[in-house]
Amino acid sequence: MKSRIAIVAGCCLVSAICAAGPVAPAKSLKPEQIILKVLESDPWGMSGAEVSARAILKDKHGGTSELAFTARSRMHAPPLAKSLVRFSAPADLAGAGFLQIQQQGGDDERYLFMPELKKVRRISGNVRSSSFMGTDFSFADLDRRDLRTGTATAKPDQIFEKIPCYRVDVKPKAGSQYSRIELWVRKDNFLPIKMQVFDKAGVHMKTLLAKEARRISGRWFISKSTMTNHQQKHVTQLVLDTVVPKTDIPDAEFSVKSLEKI
Amino acid sequence: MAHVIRFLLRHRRWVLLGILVSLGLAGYAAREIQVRFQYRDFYDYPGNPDMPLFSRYSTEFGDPAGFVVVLVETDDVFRNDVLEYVRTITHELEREAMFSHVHSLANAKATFGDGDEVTAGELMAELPATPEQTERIRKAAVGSSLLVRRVVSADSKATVVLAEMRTPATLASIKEQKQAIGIVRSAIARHPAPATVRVRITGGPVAEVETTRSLTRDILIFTPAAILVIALALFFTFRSIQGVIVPLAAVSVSVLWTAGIFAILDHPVDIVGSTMPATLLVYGVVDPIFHLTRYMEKREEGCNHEDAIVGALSDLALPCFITSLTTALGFASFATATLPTVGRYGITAAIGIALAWVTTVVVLPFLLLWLPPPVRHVASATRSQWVPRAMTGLWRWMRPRIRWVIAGATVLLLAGGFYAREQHISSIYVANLPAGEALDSIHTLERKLSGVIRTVVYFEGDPGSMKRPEVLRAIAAIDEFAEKVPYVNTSVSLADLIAEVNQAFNGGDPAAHRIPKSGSLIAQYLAMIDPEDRADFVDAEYARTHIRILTSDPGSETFRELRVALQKQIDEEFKGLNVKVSLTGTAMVGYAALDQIVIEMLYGFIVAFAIIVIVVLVLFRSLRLALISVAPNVLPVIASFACMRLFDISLRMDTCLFLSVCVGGLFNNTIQLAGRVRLGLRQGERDPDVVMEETFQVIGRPALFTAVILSLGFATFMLSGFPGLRAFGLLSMVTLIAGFLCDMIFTTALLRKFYNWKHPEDR
Repeated sequence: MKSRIAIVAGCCLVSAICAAGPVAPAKSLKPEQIILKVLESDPWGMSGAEVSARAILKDKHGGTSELAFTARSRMHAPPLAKSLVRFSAPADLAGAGFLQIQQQGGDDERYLFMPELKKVRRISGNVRSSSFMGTDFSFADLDRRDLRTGTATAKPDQIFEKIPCYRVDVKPKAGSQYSRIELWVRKDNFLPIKMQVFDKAGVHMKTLLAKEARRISGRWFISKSTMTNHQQKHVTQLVLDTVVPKTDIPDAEFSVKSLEKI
Repeated sequence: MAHVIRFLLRHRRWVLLGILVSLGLAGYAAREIQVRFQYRDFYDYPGNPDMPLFSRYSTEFGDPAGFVVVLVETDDVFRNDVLEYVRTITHELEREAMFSHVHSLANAKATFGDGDEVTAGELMAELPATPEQTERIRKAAVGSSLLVRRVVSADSKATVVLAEMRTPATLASIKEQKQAIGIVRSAIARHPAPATVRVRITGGPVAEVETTRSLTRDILIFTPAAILVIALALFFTFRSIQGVIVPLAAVSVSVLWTAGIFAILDHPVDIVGSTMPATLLVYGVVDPIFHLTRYMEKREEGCNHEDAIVGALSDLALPCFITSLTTALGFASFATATLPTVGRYGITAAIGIALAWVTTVVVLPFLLLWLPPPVRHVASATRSQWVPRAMTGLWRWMRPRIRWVIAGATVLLLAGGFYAREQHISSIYVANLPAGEALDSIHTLERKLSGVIRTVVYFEGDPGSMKRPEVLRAIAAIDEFAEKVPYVNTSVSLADLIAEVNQAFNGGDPAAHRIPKSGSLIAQYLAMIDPEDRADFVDAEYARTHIRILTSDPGSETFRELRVALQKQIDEEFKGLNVKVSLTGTAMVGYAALDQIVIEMLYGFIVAFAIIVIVVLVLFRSLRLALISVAPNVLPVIASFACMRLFDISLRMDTCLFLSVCVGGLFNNTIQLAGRVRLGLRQGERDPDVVMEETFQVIGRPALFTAVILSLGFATFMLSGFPGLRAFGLLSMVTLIAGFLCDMIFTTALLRKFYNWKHPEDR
């Protein structure tokens, strides 16, 4: 079964490469530049897009559950973004919303709306290491601050699943839940197709694998990916069903008031 | 027997070669023996009906107290330098692959609310910069039912860094636990604590490692102490170096053989097994003493060297075999124990006793051949007559008062039985640890924080069950009930988690610290909690959850009461909720197993006692003698039970060991006395008083020496660091001394009064 999944994943990646067309000759880039390009590529549409997505959670006993949500985002001070996520499934969570406004210096602003309480609550405190709504993605994985502010080191280029990749290691700043992030970045479109993160003890913690990529309106999105938490033996598959790149979503849509609207 | 001995002596080189090879093999096997004290060994065995649930629970939720704990004590742990120190140690340990998680104030997560703002995540992402921030952190930590007494004491004077081993502590070996403690110790050494801060390493792994060390130290004390006691007794008896070396060397061979067999059974030496070397030395030396005495008597009678050896063995091989058999039967009564550690101990000790007899027959002759006691000492050593004289005096005093003696002993039996009837089974873990730093720190943990004894209420239902408000309210009720129990230090459940989040989302209002009525809201709260944190409380399907109750250690008797009380509460609260509720955790599973062992040991003692009475019946073909042997051997046991009540010693696995260890020894003198009476009659003596006086003279001395060696040998256990083993030493000594006195007074009086004194030819 595992090998079948690997074959399917491989096929998806190969099809994505074919769709990408000929690979442009790679220039010699510094690791910081590669990271900047990764951030600019916005592969999950978190900085200027309307996304309809599902997160399929699989626990160590094989039990699965699914979260469905829509997310809208806009860049407000590149590379910083605002995003509003609205959940539609499971039924208990339907209507719940989450607003995040990334900040350059201090902590990001986060607001949570719970339909049962009919109130918005500002969420403060250090939640970066916490999981985002029960998935294997932490807030830190989504805010990409570790990539933005960490120290990047180039490693020898590698071919991953027949795709030429830059290899970059990032050492996040103190305070991160990770001690090291290893990235495999496609040379042609700067999609991070594999990411491994290590906990403070240096033990391999999670692996993000891009399973499928789509080119929409000239931008590349990772439409299917899995985040595996090796320590918890938990997997989250993130599927972007629809992605509409948009750079003109009004700023007013990213407010507490709009969060309260179901 | 004489033919066998002569055969062995003729082929002495081959026999010696065989002995040396067997010793080499036994020594080779014995080098693998490990000393280990792990609580798990006492309940984790195949067939324990409580284990499947306990394993299922541990797999799902881990071990709620299996941490290496850095205990930090000062006047205020929220001082910045203390928090900085806690943070440094936490970060140091987080970097260690040995630990999967490290919990402390430095990374503790909390959810608390104030107005429209909910603060979630790490309690102390940065060190507090102002007194207001410090107070905010203190309030959140001490006010959280999930953190208070878990990582910080209610008075802010103690905090802990909990290092959770990647291999759960309950499954980790002593070596792994040692390694984990070493890592913590070196982290502490690298970062000196601020002034006025006291730092100690404690927790379950420390208790097990320190106890293992104490056990090793105990063995290194008991064994030489027993050897010293035996050597002194031997020197006092035989007044020569050879008289010390020969019996000691003979018994040492049997101890080494037994060690080899123990190693083959592939089980570490635990608190029960630690008594084995001293026990075997003490019991094993009795036969060589009898033989050596007889050998010297033969030499005094004019026998040559080899004839004296053969004669002594021929005379005593059978009686010694019978007394060894009864002793071995006492130990063998453990063999059917459910707990493998006790069963293996019983089997190995029984084999050891049997081997001691074998070495007496096979090894002792060679040793006597090569190291004969000097002839000049023979006479002086055996000439001492004060014991027979004292025994004769005792008999002459008793002779006109037989009825009074019997009446007095019967009164003692009944009164002692009445006084000793109130015994209680109460196994205990913490109070049985050796005194020292590890025990002190565990007591501090119990007093200020949580403790190391875990009780778990485990809930299992259909998927989604644990999100139902009515189920959560029932869990909260059980949790609240547990918190009111005086010795419960912390009780934490999913209901606490939900109530805390609900309070936070309701502006921090204490009245909102409860389970909300809406199932959807509960689901929303649960969805936003990090799965890693949530997994500590509930499984991914919301089908299983638990209440973790950490307590001080009042002993199993109190836990039995807690079980009953909790069960009653559970029956009331969970009626009709379709949730299966079970009680597990080390307090429930471990103590139930230990108490069961005590019951089995008591039954084992009764069975062994009955079997030995039957052996007496078969051996002497006399129901009368069998019945006579009962009361004098019950009285010493009653004396020990009275002693237990007097010193408030509960029935526990270690204290109960004395029963099976002593049962064989008790009957030895009874059998010797009965045998001698029969021999006197067979030799033609018809006057019962004369037979009895001769019996006193002949049996008195070896019986006294045996009682002295056995009781002093077991008294060495009173040097133990373990309170249970000290009690074992005391009770064994009391039983054996009382046994000797009962045999010399009560058995002899009963024999004189009730034995069938008709001469065999007259019957």
